[in-house]
Amino acid sequence: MAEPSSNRLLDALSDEDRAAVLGFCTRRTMTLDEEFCAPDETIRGVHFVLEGVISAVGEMRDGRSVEVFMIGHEGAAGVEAALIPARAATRMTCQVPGSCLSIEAARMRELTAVRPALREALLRFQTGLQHELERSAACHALHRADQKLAKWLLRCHDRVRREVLPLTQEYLASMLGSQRTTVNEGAQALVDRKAIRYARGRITVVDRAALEGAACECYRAPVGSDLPDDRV
Amino acid sequence: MNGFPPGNRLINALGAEDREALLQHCTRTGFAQGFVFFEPGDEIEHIHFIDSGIASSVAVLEDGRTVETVMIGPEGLTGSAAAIVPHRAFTRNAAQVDGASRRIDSARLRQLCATRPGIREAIAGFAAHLQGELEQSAACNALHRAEQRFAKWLLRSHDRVEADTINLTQEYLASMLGSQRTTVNEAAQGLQKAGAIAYSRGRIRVLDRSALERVACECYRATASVRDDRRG
Repeated sequence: MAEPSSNRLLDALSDEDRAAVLGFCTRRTMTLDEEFCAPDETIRGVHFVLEGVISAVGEMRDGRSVEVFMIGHEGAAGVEAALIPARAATRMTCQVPGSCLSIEAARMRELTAVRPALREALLRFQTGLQHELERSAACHALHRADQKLAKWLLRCHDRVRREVLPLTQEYLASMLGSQRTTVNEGAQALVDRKAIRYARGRITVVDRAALEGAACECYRAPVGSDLPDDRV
Repeated sequence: MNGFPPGNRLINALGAEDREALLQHCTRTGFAQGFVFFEPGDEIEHIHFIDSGIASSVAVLEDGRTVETVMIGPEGLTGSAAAIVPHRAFTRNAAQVDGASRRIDSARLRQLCATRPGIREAIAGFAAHLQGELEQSAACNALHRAEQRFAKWLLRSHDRVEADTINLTQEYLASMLGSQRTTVNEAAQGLQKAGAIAYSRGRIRVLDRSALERVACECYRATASVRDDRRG
């Protein structure tokens, strides 16, 4: 039997495939803002998140940034490089501290070359990511900042499994690609609805249902229609 | 126009044996502007390697609003998610500009991917490229103005067609950019004044590419530099 883990992607593998992957994995802690990959850099590792969150953040030349997807215990960062050598398009950093199991990308490619089920599991996850990105592209074009903030908090809450999220407004603004004042207004509206409490860089989720009421439909959009229950 | 030999670049880049194995199962097809490759929720049964023309992947929201998330020309294929595992579509893929493709049953392509590493890696390379495009697209929609995005979008279309005239209505353009028609109208007039395009009744003529490039956001260059490969 393979070692049990608390990563959904690893848990869904066959015992043999999981043991093969875990055999080459190193457990590491993730600290706030730790960088896993820089834009245009070759992706050197695949990181299965156990706890905490890794975010992929798009950056513009003027210094503005926006998160394009987040990965928690449901997935892995760097899956683009699981079959072929690949470069990152965005910066991947730790947004909520935790831990992960990391495997060298080159080693992962050796495994996927000979293990079809492992290959399929990783590609299925990557397809789900693409779906998230398509939603994210549409959401950023069409939805209001307060809806996006509510969606983003829900997604974060799903992944950290605790009520208090240690996030400053400045940080939230850089994740949402909004002005701080916009984030401030959005957060205040959620406080007024009693969905969250907000004080000095700490957001406490008080009422998830109220938060869901405030979020755009993109929160509920299925992640890959062949996996209807694949929400974290 | 774009300096590449005619036909699909993924197919052209395959080794002779892989290419022959693939083409044996492909049918040459033509498609007209507006042709729907698949709708959200459809099982993806056919995959089209685009030889000419453009397919757009469009997110459709509950209220019917739409946004293009990525466009696919001769550098890629529609429905790539179904090339490795059976998959249902989560966006609408429709022809934005008429063209031709090599069509293959997705089940057949999955068999080829399972047995031929060269074909599998070509598909994985495209998936990594697509992910990079989607990440840029999500960030761009969050941060850049309609006029910049419009210019980018025209350049990307122009890169993929062999003509300077693109037949597209303002209504269509608005649905691609996730903007109001009036916004698109203003953007088109701005570009016309700058001498970048001539616009009349659903026909856009590109007059001055460098003028378009000056208006477009940096995302045009960011994805242009990786258009053909995100491989490390």
